[in-house]
Amino acid sequence: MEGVRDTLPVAGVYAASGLALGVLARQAALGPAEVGLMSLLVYAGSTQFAVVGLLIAAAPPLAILSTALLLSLRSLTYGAALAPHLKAAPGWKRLLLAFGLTDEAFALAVRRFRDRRADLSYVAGVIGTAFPAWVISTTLAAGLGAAIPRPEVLGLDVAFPAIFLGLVLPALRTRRDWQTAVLAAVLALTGRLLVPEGLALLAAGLLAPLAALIPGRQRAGAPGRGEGTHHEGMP
Amino acid sequence: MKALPLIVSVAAVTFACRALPLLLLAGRPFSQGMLTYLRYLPLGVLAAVAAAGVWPQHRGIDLPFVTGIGTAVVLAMRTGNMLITLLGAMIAAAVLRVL
Repeated sequence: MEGVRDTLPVAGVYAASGLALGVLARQAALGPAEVGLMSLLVYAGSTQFAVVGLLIAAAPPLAILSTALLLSLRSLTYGAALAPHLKAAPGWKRLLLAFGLTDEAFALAVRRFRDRRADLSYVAGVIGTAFPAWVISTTLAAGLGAAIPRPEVLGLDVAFPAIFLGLVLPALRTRRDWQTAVLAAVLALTGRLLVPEGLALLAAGLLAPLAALIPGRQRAGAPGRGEGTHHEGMP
Repeated sequence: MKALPLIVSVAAVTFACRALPLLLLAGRPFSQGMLTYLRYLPLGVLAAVAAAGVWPQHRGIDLPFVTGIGTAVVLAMRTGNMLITLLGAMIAAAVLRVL
């Protein structure tokens, strides 16, 4: 139940974003069945928005697939971060977890796993709440279409960054946390000037934590503030 | 359903990226350095995603958006509550758009 409770804000945003995607998909001549199937099988908001946008632009299939791959690359880091906590989990449970491993599900799971042992029932609650919200809202919107207002009027354009600010900022407890987060942000924003954004985010996410491996300076006899506590790093 | 092959291909790519590390890395012993790295990896990735969302690349930024983001930062730091942060940011942006 805690997984369900913690996911309700995310499910609300998924539902609203799903409405936006469903409306957009009509421009790509995708019907409710195709949109619903895409949400059922892909279950990745940014990828689906990109796919629909490229379909509207009549991009070739290979370009669409390449874009999907670039946008999904950061998921490699999610699985790597969770893997140490899942040694005892059977393969089929890991596969189910993998299917529902969106940005938000990952953030909630890693926060939970840090505070307690790997709690797969919590993750099941997270995915079981968010996934239906996404599938139903996208399919519904693809059917309703023009009756839905523009997402910006509802403040939906700030929802995605607000969720991540709500997850990241409270986790910044030590100097190392701040170093990692600031470095990642700088690398991401500058990197995407040079390479596609998906690649920049992946590179930033992989490179920034390397700074944590550099031994920190401390005054003799004084532990660093917050260092070595239970909550060092991500919550 | 003309888009079916494309949908299935995109789904396969997405799932592979999510599943491979969980299948291949779980159960493997990690050094202390690797454990430290993996501990900070989520923060690095999520901070990068958050930064990209705060400064969208292909969309203009207006006052309601900036206000919403500023509200999110303040609420996140002061309350540590994701729901309050989310609702506060959306309301701030929506109100400014209506005015």
